[in-house]
Amino acid sequence: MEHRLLEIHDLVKYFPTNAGVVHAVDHVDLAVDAGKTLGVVGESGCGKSTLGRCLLNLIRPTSGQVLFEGQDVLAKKADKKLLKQQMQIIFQDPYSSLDPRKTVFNLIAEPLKINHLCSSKQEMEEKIYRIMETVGLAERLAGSYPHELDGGRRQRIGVARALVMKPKFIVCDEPVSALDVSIQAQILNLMMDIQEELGVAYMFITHDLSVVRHISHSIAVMYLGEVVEQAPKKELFANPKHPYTQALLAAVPVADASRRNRERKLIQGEVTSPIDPKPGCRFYARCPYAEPKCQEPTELRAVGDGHVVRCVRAEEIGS
Amino acid sequence: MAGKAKIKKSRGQIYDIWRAMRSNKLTMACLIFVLFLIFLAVFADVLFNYETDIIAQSIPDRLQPPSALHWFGTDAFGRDYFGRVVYATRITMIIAVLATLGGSVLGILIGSLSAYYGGKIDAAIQRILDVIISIPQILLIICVVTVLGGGVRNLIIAFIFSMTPGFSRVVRSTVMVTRENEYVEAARAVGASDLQIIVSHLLPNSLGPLIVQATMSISLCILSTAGLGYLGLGVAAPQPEWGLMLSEAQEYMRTEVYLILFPGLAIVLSAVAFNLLGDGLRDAMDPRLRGFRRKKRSIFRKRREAVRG
Ligand SMILES: Nc1ncnc2c1ncn2[C@@H]1O[C@H](COP(=O)(O)OP(=O)(O)O)[C@@H](O)[C@H]1O
Ligand SMILES: [Mg+2]
Repeated sequence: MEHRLLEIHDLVKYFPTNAGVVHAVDHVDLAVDAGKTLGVVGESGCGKSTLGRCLLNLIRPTSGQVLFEGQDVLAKKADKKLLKQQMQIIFQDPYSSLDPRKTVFNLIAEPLKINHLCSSKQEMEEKIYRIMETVGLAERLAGSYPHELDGGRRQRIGVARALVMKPKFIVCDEPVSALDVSIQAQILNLMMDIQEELGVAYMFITHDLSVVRHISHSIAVMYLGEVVEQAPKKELFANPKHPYTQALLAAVPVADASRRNRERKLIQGEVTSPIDPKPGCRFYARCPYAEPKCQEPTELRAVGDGHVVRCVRAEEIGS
Repeated sequence: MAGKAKIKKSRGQIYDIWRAMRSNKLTMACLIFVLFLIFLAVFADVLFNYETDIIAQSIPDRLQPPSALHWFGTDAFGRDYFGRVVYATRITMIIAVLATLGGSVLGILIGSLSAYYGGKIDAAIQRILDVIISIPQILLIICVVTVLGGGVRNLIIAFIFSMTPGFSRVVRSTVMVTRENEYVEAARAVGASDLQIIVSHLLPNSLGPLIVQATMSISLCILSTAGLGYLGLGVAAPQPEWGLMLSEAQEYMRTEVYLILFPGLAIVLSAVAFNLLGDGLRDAMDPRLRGFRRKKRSIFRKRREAVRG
């Protein structure tokens, strides 16, 4: 029996700017099951980070609802301390997200100290060394400073900081995009091991489909603030319906020789501006299948079991 | 487990800073000299009696060269020059330290308000500061002193007035840069309050430029105090003050060189010591600068070993 951990209802975040209103997150509905991973994919600037930060209340959403185990995260009377412990985030850039003046030990100790989670120094040390072991940081690194470590180790510190309070849900905001490919795999494996062991749920944000392919159970594709397609991983890779998803998949390198010669439909043109978008499909300007009717407002429609897509021509063009 | 953990316990931050400072000989020399100056400033009253040792004249003893009795000789009024140079330290340090303290407190206040509110308030504050900054500092101080009169208290006020804009700017720009760092958001994500973020992230990361600015200000105050004293606008005779002593010694500088030498040395050494100490402190406080030094040395060591091996 799947257990709904997090539900996002109609989440909206607009940034008013001098040039107009940026629709960073536009009426997003998503859900994450306990112990599972939801991949969120989309090109940079489509609002992935904003979405992740809204969930943790690091950015105040314009409107919408976020329910964590049924509790409204954004409500004034929400238990902020408890939610901070149960919902965590791993940042994209392991260079700027760690205070350069703190040692590894102190960086990992910060969440414990702030939330008074340890009754004694000894307990804190034990917790910190245990979590360092979990994320694969040698004990001797406890006194090191972040700049003395490579990107992979730094990101392990980020993982340790997120994990040390034993959260049930972690937003991973492109945690491996700043790393070398060889180290990416290490960190991804670490995160999957942790999930298996501790049963945390992830929202795994990335612009790279090949990364979420390993780690996700289901995938949501975002384009200019909107979710354009969502499906279980296998279904999405086998049966992509939205032209944007298809284009993303076409850009992923494949090892399978029989699929090498498939037709590649790469996207043309520039990203449309997220400022005051027109009604209708936001992919219209770049879509190879665009028709006049695409300029009318679109809705997410179910096209299969757990498979939703925001495209009026989905059935015609799907595979 | 606990015992094992103890051994590998992280080095304390203060200890790391101290160790980095100790490894820099120049900084340590400056630190010792500055501590010596502070010692003299604090205990000048105990070491010397102001009425009988410092300002009481004794014409028969005038213009004696340095000797065992008068280490720095005596001045034109027969006063012990060593006592006067030391006592001048007290006056100069009081002015420099209090003025810098006042300037930095006001600067931190104005600068962080400016950075925090931004927009129109920031713009208004910055324009006012622009006006003050555009006036040459020494001219500004002379104006204030002319209006308020000389004396230690008025000098301090004048220095605070002229230094606050510089401090505000440094604080404002540092805070604006520092708070954009992702680690601030990372701290918020684990539940840190605004106060906790300011105390444990923003302040430590903004302290470097502030320390440099503060020590530079102390040096500047020392120089300006001497300059104003020399011009007769600062500390008034018969109080001892290095610049004033230089101007009094001017008549005798061809024959009694020591009358120029000792106050002159005092001005130069104390100004330089504070400046270098500030640089050293900043380097010691930044783990990235510490690491650079350590790494550089290890490369040389490796090369040496390579050559030998
Ligand atoms: N504080 C802000 N003010 C104005 N616009 C913003 C702000 N933060 C993000 N945006 C805009 O919102 C959009 C989504 O940004 P972001 O969530 O960072 O995208 P992603 O993480 O997918 O690359 C971008 O167009 C970005 O320019
Ligand atoms: Mg992002």
